[in-house]
Amino acid sequence: MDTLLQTLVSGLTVGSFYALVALGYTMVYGIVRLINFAHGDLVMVAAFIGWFVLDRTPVGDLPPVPQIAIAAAISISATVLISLGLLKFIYRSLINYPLGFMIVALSVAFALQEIIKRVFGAGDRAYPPYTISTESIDLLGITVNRMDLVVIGLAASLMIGMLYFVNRTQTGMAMRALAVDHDAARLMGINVKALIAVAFGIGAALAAVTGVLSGVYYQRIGFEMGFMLGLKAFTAAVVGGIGNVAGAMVGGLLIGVLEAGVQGYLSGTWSDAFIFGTLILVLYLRPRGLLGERVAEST
Amino acid sequence: MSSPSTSREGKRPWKAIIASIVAMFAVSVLVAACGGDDSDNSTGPIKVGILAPMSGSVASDGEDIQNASEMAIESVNADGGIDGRKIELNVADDACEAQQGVQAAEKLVQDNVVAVVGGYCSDATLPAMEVFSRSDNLPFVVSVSSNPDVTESGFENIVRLIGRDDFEAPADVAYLNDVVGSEKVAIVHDNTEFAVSVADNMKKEIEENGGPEIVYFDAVQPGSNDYRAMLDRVEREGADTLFYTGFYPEFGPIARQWSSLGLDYNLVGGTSTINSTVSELAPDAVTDDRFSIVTYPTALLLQGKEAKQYRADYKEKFGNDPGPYGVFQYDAMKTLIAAIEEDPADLSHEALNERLKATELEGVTGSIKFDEKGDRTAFPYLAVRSDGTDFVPEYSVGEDGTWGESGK
Amino acid sequence: MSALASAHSMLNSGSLKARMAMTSILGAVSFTVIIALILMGLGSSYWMVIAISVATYATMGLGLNVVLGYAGLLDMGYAAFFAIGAYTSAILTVNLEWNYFLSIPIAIIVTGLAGIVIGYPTLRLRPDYLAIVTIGFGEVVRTAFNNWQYVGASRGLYPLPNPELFGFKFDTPDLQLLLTAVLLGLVIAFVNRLGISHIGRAWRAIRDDDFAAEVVGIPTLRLKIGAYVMGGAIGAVAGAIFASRSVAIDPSNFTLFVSVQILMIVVLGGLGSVRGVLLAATIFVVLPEILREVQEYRTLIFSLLVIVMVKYRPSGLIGERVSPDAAALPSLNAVGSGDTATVAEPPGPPEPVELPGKEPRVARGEALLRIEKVTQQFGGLTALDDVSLTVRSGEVLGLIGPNGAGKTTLVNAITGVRKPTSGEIWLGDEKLTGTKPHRIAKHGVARTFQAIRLFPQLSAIDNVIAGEYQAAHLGVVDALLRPRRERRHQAETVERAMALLDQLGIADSALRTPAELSYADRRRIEIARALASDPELLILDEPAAGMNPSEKRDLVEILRSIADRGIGILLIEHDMPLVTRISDRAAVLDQGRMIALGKPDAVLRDQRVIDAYLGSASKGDDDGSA
Repeated sequence: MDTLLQTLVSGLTVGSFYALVALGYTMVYGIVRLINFAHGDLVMVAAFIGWFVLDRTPVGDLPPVPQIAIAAAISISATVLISLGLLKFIYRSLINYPLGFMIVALSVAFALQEIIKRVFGAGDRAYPPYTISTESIDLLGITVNRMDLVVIGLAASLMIGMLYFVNRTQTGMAMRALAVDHDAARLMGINVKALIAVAFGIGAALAAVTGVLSGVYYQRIGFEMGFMLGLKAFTAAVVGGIGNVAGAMVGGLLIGVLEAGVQGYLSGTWSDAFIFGTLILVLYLRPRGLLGERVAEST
Repeated sequence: MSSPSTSREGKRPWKAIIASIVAMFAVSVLVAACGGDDSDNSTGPIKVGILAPMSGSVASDGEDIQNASEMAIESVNADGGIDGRKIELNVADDACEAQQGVQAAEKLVQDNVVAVVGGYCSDATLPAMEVFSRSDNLPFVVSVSSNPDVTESGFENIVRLIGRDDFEAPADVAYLNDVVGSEKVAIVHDNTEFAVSVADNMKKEIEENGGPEIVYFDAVQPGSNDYRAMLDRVEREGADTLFYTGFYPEFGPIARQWSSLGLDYNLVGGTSTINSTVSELAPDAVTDDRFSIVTYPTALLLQGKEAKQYRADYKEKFGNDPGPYGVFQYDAMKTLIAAIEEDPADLSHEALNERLKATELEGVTGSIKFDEKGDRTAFPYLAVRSDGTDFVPEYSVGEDGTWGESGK
Repeated sequence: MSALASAHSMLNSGSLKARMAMTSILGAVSFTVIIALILMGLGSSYWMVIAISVATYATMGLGLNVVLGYAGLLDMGYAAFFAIGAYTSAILTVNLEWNYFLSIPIAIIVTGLAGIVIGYPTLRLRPDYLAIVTIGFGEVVRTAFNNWQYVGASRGLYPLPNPELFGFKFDTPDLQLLLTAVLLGLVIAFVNRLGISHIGRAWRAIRDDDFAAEVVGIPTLRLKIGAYVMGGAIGAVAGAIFASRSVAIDPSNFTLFVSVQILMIVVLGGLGSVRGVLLAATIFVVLPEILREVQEYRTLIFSLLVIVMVKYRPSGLIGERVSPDAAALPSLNAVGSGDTATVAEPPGPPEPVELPGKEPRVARGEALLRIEKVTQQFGGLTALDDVSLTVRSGEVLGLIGPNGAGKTTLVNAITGVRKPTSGEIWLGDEKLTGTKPHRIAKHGVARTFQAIRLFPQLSAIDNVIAGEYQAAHLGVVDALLRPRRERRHQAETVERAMALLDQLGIADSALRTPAELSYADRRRIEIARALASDPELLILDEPAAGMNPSEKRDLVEILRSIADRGIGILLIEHDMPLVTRISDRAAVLDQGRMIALGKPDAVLRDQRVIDAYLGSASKGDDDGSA
């Protein structure tokens, strides 16, 4: 029984990473209804920015907590700026040309990977070791890394924050209106352009949190770490119900637990195939995802 | 509203640009295509082809191969070459991929090299072999490609310096038997060609010649970060040893999580798991008594006098430590040079192939001698563990194929 | 009839003939074989193997071009088809020792079947989901080969035999190049044939707006699967070429990265452009060979190029030029400029276009469309409440009502866009409820949209031709094997479309895209497109919106003449004078209920109707007056 719990903890941690990225997908998708294939690679870029700050600047000499906080802050700001820059100079004009947008986003993903590879090299880089991520504690008879709790807790609080934002703040409610009907929202005096920027910004910030968190926990980062993560996170968002904040969390955790469960009890060889199989199955049986999507139907 | 005529005018600069691109392209292709080298190879420098991945994900190993090749010819050329002829290297990039491999091979054939040394990814090496064999059995000294098919396909023109994948598996199993004393083993790979084939061959070896019971046999997804579900399962299956046949980027996190979960079983990595990043990610694991890595005698692990010289020379010439596999390329070059020196007047493919197979010499990687297929007759695997700073050999395979304490 | 003349001249124009040449198998194969022979003459096997690489990428690019370029489906797992084709050929030749040439058709069939299996469930999804599902498909296929011991699992199959025909072995680069050139030539011819065929035109309509395409009578799901399967079949040919020349195949040849590279080739070359793909594939393979430095930066360079291309030149290096009209620009210019002088004058009384005789479903004046007790609920909201209505053949029925009364909902119910919650709709003796939109269009119901939905990248005439798809009595076999029949069909459709545009007074805009046209002209094109399907019932959703008085006058005449031919017209309109002038009867919807039906004048004087319109403006007064 305790190994089941152990697998569950591992799945929830991985799932929290998926959920954070899925949350970013859902924010952007909810508004522009386009897949930003480069979203996963923003996580990668953010991880490298964080690594650079910790490894190549005096910030690395500070005690652990402040240095991580500073690195995260710098990484978040830089990633948000990159994302907004991409939006302004590349994506914006393609928002009404979905095919073009997706192809361009895909190219941006590969361009980001290549650029990082040129700048930081093709090999993996390692974050400094932190005791919080190397030492384990005993919890109810299972071995838990303290970072597990941090990751799960952070993901949960960010999701609650996002729920509050979307349902209780004026900007959030405007975003929901926008998700339902662009034209009507525009007529109601909602600044569509600004809201799209807000969605991209929030998505990038969540991606940056994911990237730095992943670096701090697993230490290892590499230029290829983002793309597959992005795909799985998108899968999570769709499974949960795209455009739905709670759905992203549920979908992310579900995919994470599924992955760990398949690895731990079925067949690791086929775990990616399982995830994409689940996606196809969900789309077939419940095309709006488990919690239902919040995107108006296209007619 | 724009009229059709203006919109067409708007396209004109594009047309011009595209037309000129096409034209430039055609001209350069024609120029390049006509520029084949038809010179006879009995005079002038001796041209040796190097086949290596100079681009793509393993480009750094390609560079290492090129550097090692340059080091190998340096002393020969400094002494005035062989019979007055210097050796000239002709590097072709196979990009670790089939189509590029064929192209690179054809390029070397077109450039009329006397022999080719190299081969890193078997994806590229196998198709390239086909090209060389078609070109009158152009001699091909394979340095790093470990796929058994390289020497199993019956080509006359192949000798190989590195150990075959299916040589590794018996050594791995013997290690489990002789040193670890394992009774129940979990074998895990990562779905890539190399790792799966080592894992499969281990299974076969155990079935045929005895060894621990395999209680778990599966893969992890490369690129993931969290392997605890797998590590836990291995424990649940009751294994006393986990043998991982994949690569070092995954082995680092695996070793780290293995140690932080405080699991009871031994952890052994295969030949592709050795890398300094493993120590970096899992400092507690690599010094653990239950941890070890079975490895080729890579450049940094070799203990002989020649190996120390190689490391020192390399560092002096290129400013950094040698990569893990360049040393096999170095020995491959030395093998070819020995075969050439035997009769520099006759560099025909047939004669050179014959002499290559018969070559015997002491290389940096140990005694070199080939069997009738072109593989080395004895292959010196090592088992290493970290002493806190570096990996150091603890055990090695003797001439009889059994493991014993490494003579340091 | 200058427009008709121009339609003829279009088809006879020289550039069109030149393009048709590449649809000839002989023409396309000679083209590729001549290039192969030139390279063979140069005698460098190095450049020959590079040419084979170019051909492999070009073949894959052409296959993806059918899926992505023609039909607009973002397939990001295209390497899966390449893999299935290569493996099928390899299994047959290695494990079963078949002849290589027999393995090619089997590879095509197997890949086609795989295309149907994966395409059927996924192609009904939204296009962005398709992208992600196809990535998943690509990964699943690769994992499967990676673990299938019969095909060597991760080690792959080795060695693959050289192709052999009657004891003649293709074992040298020059012979393999020749063989590859022949295969590529065939693929070029077939892709070109598909492109100019009625299917190719329908694909482009789907690419532009698949919902509108479905409603004008194009069976979108079937055609999407068709594109996916045919693209896959071409991928199988590429796979077979690859298998025959690379001696070994293993799963690492078929990664997501390969799919992405092919995608980049297609986008750079130009979506839908065969020549563009050929050029892009050549650059992609040859450039790094000439400039070694490029090799390292290839992915970066090509990603950046794609970004720049899509942003600034979405048509790619060589934009697609498949529709006959684009080629005929010069001949039409003359016509167009001639007509500008007369544009201010209203067009003469429209002459009915000769449409192919179809037995009318019901006699003139009989009930054509019968809406019986239709109710439509969305969640708790009742948008249509027990509506019954009949449209007779040859009559114009005006459907009016305040905003939100349910008029467009009713149109959607008739055209099959959304199945009503209850009730039935009949066209003559044909039940429409529960039928797919394109079937309903084929049964003879055509419509226009309140918010115009033309195919934005297609010219006016191509938009109209899209409406004729369902009348085409041609199939895939014609598209692939009978180019002459296709050409004849095309000549007829162009002629009819021009006649329709002429009838609506916009013949001189035939080659412009919707974006270049005024709002009123776009409405007219939409009406022409609806008429092109030779409907018995024409539903117009606010056709006069955005038209000036003189344009409205023309519209009235046009609609009258259409009705005079026995076509029933259901006209939704806010312009009351227009409704009164043109309609035989008028029906009024309010809050989902039919509140009045009768002569337009009488209906508009009906107190309930007045209340409804006033009521929708100010609810408070309503209660007092009732």
